Amino acid sequence: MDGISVIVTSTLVLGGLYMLMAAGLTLIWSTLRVFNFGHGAVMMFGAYLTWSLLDAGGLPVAVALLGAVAAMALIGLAYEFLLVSPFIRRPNGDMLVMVATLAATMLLQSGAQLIWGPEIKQLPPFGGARVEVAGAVAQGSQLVTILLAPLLVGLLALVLKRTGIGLTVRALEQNREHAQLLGIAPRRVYVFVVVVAIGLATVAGALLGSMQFISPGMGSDPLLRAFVVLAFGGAGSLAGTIAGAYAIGLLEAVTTYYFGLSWSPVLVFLAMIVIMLVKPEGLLRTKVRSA
Amino acid sequence: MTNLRSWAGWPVYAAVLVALPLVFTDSHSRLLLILFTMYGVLAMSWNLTLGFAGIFNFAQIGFFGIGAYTTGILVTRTGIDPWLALPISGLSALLASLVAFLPVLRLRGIYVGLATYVFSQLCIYLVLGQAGLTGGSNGIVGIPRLSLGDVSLRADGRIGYYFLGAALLFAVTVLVRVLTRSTLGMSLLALRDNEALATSRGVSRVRQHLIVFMIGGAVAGVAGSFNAFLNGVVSTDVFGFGYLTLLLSMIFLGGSGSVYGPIVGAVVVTLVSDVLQDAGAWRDMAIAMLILVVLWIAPKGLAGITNSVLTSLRRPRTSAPEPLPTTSKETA
Repeated sequence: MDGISVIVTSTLVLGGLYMLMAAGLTLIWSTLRVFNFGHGAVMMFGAYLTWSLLDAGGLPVAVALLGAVAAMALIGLAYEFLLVSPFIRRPNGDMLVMVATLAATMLLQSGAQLIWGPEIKQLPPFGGARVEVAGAVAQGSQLVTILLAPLLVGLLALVLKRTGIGLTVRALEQNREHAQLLGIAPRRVYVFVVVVAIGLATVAGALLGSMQFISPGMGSDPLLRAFVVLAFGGAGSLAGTIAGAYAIGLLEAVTTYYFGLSWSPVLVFLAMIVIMLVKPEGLLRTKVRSA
Repeated sequence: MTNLRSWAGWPVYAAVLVALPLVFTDSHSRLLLILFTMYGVLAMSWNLTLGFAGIFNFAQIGFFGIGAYTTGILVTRTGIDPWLALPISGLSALLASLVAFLPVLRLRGIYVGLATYVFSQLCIYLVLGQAGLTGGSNGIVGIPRLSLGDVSLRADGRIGYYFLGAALLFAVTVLVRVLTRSTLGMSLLALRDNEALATSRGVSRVRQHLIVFMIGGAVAGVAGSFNAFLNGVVSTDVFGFGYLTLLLSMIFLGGSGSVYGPIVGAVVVTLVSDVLQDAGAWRDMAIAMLILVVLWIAPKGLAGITNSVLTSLRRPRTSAPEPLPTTSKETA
């Protein structure tokens, strides 16, 4: 029984983290038609910023996290202005954007190394609450992740569904030309999407940084898993992403428990290859969108 | 129509490659020359898929690393003749490219970028997971040096390695040049620039992409083997971000989709990276900024700049392949 409770807890925690990462990637993919290879580095940078505000600024954890999200929103603006908008309309622009985001990854990683040095850092746990349900224990940051991630992504879904900007995002997703004919400026949507995605990644980074260590390379693992989530749930669909995040979290928790840490990523990737071969549009999607 | 002039450059090219180590004789310059050849080979092989075919292939670094590890494992675990490890590494990278190509079968454009990126990152997990075979995070050390008879390739400022690298570079340059002018190369450009039209004219996307994927993978595998012999050690660094961004900056600085551009890019970026060797993280920053600046001001790289200068100076040569008019791939 012990095994099952461990698996349940880590499924919910991993699923939450992957959801925060993948939701942003999905949003960027569905509107901009590119994958942001810098998402892992953005997450890492957000974790470091939270640490700085906490350590040097002496702020409480929650305030530090909010501050980091605000600061990262500025970086998100720079991201859009420097990496996305110069390339997106050129022929072959999607490749240029992706290469630019790879360069941004390197820039952020080496920047973090220069600013924060090589020592490993860690954030304190987000609260000391402890909940036990049927043998499954979750405490501190784990508990916060389990609750906060669905909350934030749910909020995002609500914003997309109900608000004006959400409507324009969805319009652009569905048909870029028609959306522009209706007077929707893609630039505004791009800025919104990039800033929201980077904000979510910052939260994921801070949460991960309190459960593991913060290092310049900490983002690459979660980024890979988020990519697998996209393949699983179908990029471009938020509901698919949410389901995919928990499915991959479960797959990873189970394989880690039974096969060990080093085999788990291999099995997760194998699952991804099989899915891509059998249902390239994502396991949970029915409608194929041309890419 | 191949006229004499278009082939006159080759002997000159070969002569320059032979003469270079005679001009630069100190061991540091020699090492740089060797790196030029290795990075040149790698950048050209990657440019085949990334530039000419327009496939979002981020698995090239994986093929490079697989070649390096194949060599490392073969020469330390079996008593194989080290020279045989070079072609075998190319073969194993070619097989790996078949695996990496699986997602390309049914995926398009940008999804391929995702799958191939995950593939090369996954190689690291495989290497770490198979620590008994690969040495895990310690890597493989004590790879024997290549030698010709009794003469080690390391002798005289590694001049043997330089000539091996130069020979590889020359061969790959010829290969790329011949390939891009062949029907295969033409069909790749057609697929890249207008897939619907190309396939409707009977070009098989999967077949042509598979062929170029395999060729690029095999070349990268041989380069990885060369790298393993040159350094004497193999570690998971070969799959790392450092090589990825370094090579991307070479390709885009030189000009993606140009035959010779990546060689120039390899030379320039190797020099920049060598000057900043002691600058630590600043070096990575500089390389990343270099990529971004090139993308901002000259998305076709040095080759694009040279071409536009040349065409404004004289009439466009008939032999220069004009890029097909690009049509918008965006159909919602």
